[in-house]
Amino acid sequence: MVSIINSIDTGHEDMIHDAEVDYYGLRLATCSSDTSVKVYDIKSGSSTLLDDLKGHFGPVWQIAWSHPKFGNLLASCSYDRKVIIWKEQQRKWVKYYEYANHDSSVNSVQFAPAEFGLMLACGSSDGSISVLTYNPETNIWDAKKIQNAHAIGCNAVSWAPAITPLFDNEAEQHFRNQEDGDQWVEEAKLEIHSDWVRDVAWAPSVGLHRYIIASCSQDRRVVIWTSDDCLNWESSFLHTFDDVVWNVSWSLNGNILAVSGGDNKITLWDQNSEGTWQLISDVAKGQGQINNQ
Amino acid sequence: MKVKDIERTANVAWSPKNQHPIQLAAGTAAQQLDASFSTSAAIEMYSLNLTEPGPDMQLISSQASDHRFHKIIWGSFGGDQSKGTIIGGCDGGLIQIYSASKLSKGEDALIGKQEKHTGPVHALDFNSFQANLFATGAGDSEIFIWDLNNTNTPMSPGAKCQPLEDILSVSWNKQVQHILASTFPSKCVIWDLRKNEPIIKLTDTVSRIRWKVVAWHPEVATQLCLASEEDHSPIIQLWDLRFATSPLKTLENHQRGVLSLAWCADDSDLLVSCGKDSRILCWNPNSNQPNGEVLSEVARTNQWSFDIVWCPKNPALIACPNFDGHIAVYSLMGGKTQQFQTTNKIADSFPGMDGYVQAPVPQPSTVTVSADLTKPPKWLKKPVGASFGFGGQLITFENDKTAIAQAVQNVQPGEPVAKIHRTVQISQVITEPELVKKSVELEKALEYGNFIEYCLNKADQTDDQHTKYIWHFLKANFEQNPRVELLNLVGYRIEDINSKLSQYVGKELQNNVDGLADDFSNMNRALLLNNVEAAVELCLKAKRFADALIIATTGGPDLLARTQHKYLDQTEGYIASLITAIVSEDWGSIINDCDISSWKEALAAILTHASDEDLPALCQQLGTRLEAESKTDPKRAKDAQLCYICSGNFDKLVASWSGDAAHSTRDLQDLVELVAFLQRAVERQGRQVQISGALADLLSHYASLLASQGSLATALTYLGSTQNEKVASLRDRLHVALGQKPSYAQEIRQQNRRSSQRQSFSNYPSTNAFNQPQGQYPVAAPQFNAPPVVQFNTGLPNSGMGTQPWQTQPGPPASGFGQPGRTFSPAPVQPVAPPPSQPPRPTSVGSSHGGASGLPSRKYLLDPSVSSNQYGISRNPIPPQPVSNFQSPAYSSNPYVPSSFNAAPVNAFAPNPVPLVPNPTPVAPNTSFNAAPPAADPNFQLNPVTSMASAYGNPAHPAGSVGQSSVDRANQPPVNSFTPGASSGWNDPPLLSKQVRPQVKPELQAADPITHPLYGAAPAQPFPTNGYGDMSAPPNQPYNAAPVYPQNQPQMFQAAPAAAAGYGQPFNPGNFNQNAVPGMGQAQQHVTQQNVRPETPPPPKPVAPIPEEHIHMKTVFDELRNQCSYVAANPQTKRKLDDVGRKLEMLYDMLRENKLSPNTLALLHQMVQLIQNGDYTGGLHLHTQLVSGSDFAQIGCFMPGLKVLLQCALQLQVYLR
Repeated sequence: MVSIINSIDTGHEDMIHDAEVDYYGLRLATCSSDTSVKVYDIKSGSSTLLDDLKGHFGPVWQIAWSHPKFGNLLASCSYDRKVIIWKEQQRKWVKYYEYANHDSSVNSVQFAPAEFGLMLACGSSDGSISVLTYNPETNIWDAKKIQNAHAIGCNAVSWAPAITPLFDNEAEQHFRNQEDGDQWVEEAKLEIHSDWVRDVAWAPSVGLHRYIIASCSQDRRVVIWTSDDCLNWESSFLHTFDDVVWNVSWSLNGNILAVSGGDNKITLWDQNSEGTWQLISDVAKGQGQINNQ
Repeated sequence: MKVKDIERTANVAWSPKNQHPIQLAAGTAAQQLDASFSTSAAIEMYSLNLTEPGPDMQLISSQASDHRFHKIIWGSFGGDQSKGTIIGGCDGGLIQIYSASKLSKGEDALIGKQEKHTGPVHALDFNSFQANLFATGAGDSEIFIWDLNNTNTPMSPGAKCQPLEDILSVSWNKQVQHILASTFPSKCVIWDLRKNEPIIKLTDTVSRIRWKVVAWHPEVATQLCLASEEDHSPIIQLWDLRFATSPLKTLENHQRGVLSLAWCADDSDLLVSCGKDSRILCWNPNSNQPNGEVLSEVARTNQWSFDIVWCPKNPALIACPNFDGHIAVYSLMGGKTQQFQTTNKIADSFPGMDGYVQAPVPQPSTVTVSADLTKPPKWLKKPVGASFGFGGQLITFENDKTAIAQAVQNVQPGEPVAKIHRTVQISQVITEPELVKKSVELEKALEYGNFIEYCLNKADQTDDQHTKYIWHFLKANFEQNPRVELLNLVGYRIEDINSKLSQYVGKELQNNVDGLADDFSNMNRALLLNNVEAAVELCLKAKRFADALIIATTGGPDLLARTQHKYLDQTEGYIASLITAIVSEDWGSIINDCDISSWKEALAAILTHASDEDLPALCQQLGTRLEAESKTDPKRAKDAQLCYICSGNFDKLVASWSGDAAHSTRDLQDLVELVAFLQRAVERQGRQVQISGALADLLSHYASLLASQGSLATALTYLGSTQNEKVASLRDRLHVALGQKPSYAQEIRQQNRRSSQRQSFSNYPSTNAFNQPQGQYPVAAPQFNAPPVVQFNTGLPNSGMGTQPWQTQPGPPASGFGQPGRTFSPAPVQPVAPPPSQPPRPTSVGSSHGGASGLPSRKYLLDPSVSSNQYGISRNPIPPQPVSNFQSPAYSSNPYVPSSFNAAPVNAFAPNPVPLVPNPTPVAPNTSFNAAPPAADPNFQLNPVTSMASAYGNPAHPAGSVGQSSVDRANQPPVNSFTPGASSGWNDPPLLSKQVRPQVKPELQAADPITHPLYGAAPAQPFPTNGYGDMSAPPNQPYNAAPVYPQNQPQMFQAAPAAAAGYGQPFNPGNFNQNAVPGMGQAQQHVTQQNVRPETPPPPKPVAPIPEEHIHMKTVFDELRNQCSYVAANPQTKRKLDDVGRKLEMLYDMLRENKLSPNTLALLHQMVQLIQNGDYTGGLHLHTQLVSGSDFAQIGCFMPGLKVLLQCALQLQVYLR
């Protein structure tokens, strides 16, 4: 069952591109083409605007919350080629670090799983991926750039739950692993989509020694990739949708996949006991019903 | 950014949109020569190969052509595998038609040729609606529409335009399929194919223009762009056919003629053009900037780019053939331009010309860093998305196109577009309603404790025999006598078996007549000589085991053991080993050796015989063995589970669970229910449950599943208090998410603050005690547990208030009499933390009685439980203290003492503190009391009584023997006026019996520290809320202790009980009692008296403690108020401050209930900070800010108080430290 518990008028003046809640589900950050990032307190159904972050000069594409043990940092990336990491101070957010070493729009930011420390992956249209690592001893952000990871740009990055971050772009997905010498090495390239891959998402691993990636594409398809060793991947089509699929997102337990299409349709999918994927709900304006029960 | 490069001078066409991967066709350009003067031509196919780094594109195939191309196009129609068709326009009116699929396979791809045109065919375009239609234009104003199904008879869109000119481009409308645009150097003609005639001609009479290319707007049917290749007017014009007299806009930026342009099909805000100024520009043709808005200069090349083609599949890519012999593919997404070596073919072909060659190839100065668009393209803009948050939250947003369209439509000229509400929705996703439902049921069952019933239900519900068994086993664990029940289940009904046995037992007795053996005499001798060992030996030899054993019993345990051993050595069989085990208590061997099929017997045996300590281990051992056997017999695994249940071994049980708990939520739920019950059972047996290993995994998995369904609070209950990292982090997350704990980052900050706060404020026991009774006075707490008292207390204060449901509690009345309490309060505090408590106390007393008095109460409680005998020992140190406190100026100055005295009367007569005033008299008795308890007489107590309530006419009181009746009389009038229930409760014998209940508890609880928390529940709350309460309230509480006291005492001192019961009411029951019991001996009495005193103080118990992070706030405000009231000279100010106190209480209440918005809280904390810094003016500013904020309705009740407080502090120049 999907029932709306809160609806927040963000006051953004242009299209919203991302909305994420923090680790505890107490704060909501949104970003928009109006170049701003807004942070709301959504504790127990409220929606208080805490801060309106202005620091970008272009549309802000994506935001990401860090694990609270690093102080609830918020990273945002923008068309202005910058990545900004914001830090909370007294319920306000100040610019903590700015990374401007990309040559084109930065389309995706993701914090690494907290186990790896404070790391941020950024994927840019310039074809490169940056991995920013914070060194708590020196208080310095160290940036490693993977050049030409994707010839014409990276649309989305996603960290594997284990140690492997994944990146992707057009019609293929690269998946890189940190190996000797701190080099990022492409581990696997997943090619099946016939158009831009709009988003990728590693499923959080919950006790299963199996890797699952969901990818969605301009070609209106969503593909589920599974692997036992991160090297050999099997793919299966989840579904072919009516419109471009922009976003895939796993639930925290990794058992539900939310798929967002360009026709504003958001659907939820899960795997039945036979392992096949089934539609469990349409989130049409949030009035969804689980239809298999 | 240039991403790919082909060394060809060729016209290009992208593969159609539906094709993957992207390919590029290149047909050798006409009118171009290379150094070899070759006139050969070819049509080639390249793969874009974007995934490979580097500029090379992979050549798929190449086919020679007899003619060079002026233009090529690639449509999706025809050919197998929907590769489509490539059409090239050549000189001499020739068009060549290729099959793309054949071309890609390297076969002869030329499938058609038509020479209907005259002159070079420059113009070609596929219809985007009917893929089989394409238009061509060539010399003599000739336009043909072709159908790929039949290319022999092209049709003409209408009469040729005069004068005859070359047609430079044709283009189909993107919205209306029968509209075609064509450009002539002097004009642009739009044709309607249904009418077969030109419908409009566009000419610009103002400027000298030579039209080269036309491109339709991808979305607006009536708009098109025209590019002029005239160097004097290198412009692009945007026309709207509805207003065709002049162009809408003119885009001016090229410095020389524009050779080509292309409009992006995916984003109508993007238009690219290339010109003879060697630049490639990207425009926003819809922008209203004068002269057009250049979004980006995509590239600046060495030579002209003579065409530009937008990739239909990947809108970020454009291909530009250049006269320098290269076809470049650019990305509009910026990035660093990679420098490609422009090898000059011509130079290569003329060896020795190196010297000259330099000139025509000017190297570009530097790399253009980046050329991304100043405006993001549409395709980057994610319009919709969803993400999950903790607790099954789903965050969604979308781009409501209809709302936007409406807003744009309704917009009035000159007004901004109406605001569009862009919302984010948060939804709760519940995918396992069944699980949630069951977990709620389970929780209820656990909460209400009807375990047995639940187990039975579960057992009845299932059809599976094994499951039934399991639940019955669990149920057995909750029975009065679990072992018996378990035995029943294993098939041994004790009664049955006993009755069976009894049948035999009688008969056996007869068989005992046995002839005396030969060696009887020997034995006899040995026995006679008391050589027991020898006798035993002889008996054994004679196989007279019974005799041997009997004899051995007289020879001491040593001999007996040896004898048993010998006997058992010589016998064999199951029975023997059973006996062995019973005798040797070595059940392990039974378990290991028994036939596995008789595991039930083994289980029965250990259930019967094993000690409580051993039982779990033995059951586990049996279970392990069964599990090991399960390899051969799967059923054993289930039996093993039963054993694990008996042993309470969670790890094993969970590990051996047959269901697929990891995947099936139903199995998981079943297992968790099982475990939860087992856990209760084990706890009931007094064992600690260690949540670790498999159990921790299971529970955290279950909890995270519940959390993902939004049942955060329920999830939390399953996490226990393990330190398992995974569990701990989940627990932490749940706590924070539920708002029970500040988040990580905040926590750190707050801890710092708190610690500093502690240092500075530790002196104020009242506040500390208030908020964290346990933390602050841990020592005191365990020692003085008297939960029942606590309950009383709560009742009392309430009654005083009249607002709370005290009547329901019979106890309270009794406690009401316990007034003496106030004396104690000082005492208790001291033992705990003497230094801090003493000094601040006065102030704290004034501000919040509850806190101050609360502490003492605990100590008090101790007493009853400790029992009267022990008083002397435990109390001795205390009494002196209280006395001193008592007499200390601070106290006396405060009406505190008297008030406590009067407490009872006050309550009874009038809730008002006013009565206190007369009290001074009682004070005197008290002090004297303390000073000389022995001297104290019944009369003594009378005094207070009379003074307080002479109206009672209870002079009789003094006599301990008078007992309850007199007391009743005395007390009742007042009590009645108050609340009948109360009075009866306290005075009536039956009520007393009720009180017994609480008394019993104290004894138990005395040993049990757990009861402590109870305190927290009640006391503090009532006090603060009573505006006046401070004084009257505490006395009541102390009182409570009193009833307890007497009850205990009765056993010890006969006289005492009566006195206590009856007297309680007078201020100092303790004293009273002592007095009343003179017979017992003064010394003892004295002791008790002293003891009593400390005991009485009322316990403070905040109903819901103020959240830790806000305690600081309360501390500071209270302290400031107290200091102010100290300094304040005139009564008016004092009154004000009293009022402030009330308002502050409202604030605290809101803090407790977490009613304040984060914003308000932040500001309040800020204000606290300012107060600590002594910056009251700043505080007042902040106050104004707060009051003018949006939360006023919420905070209006207490904000005025803060203001007055700040003003007073400012006025009185009071500063904290």
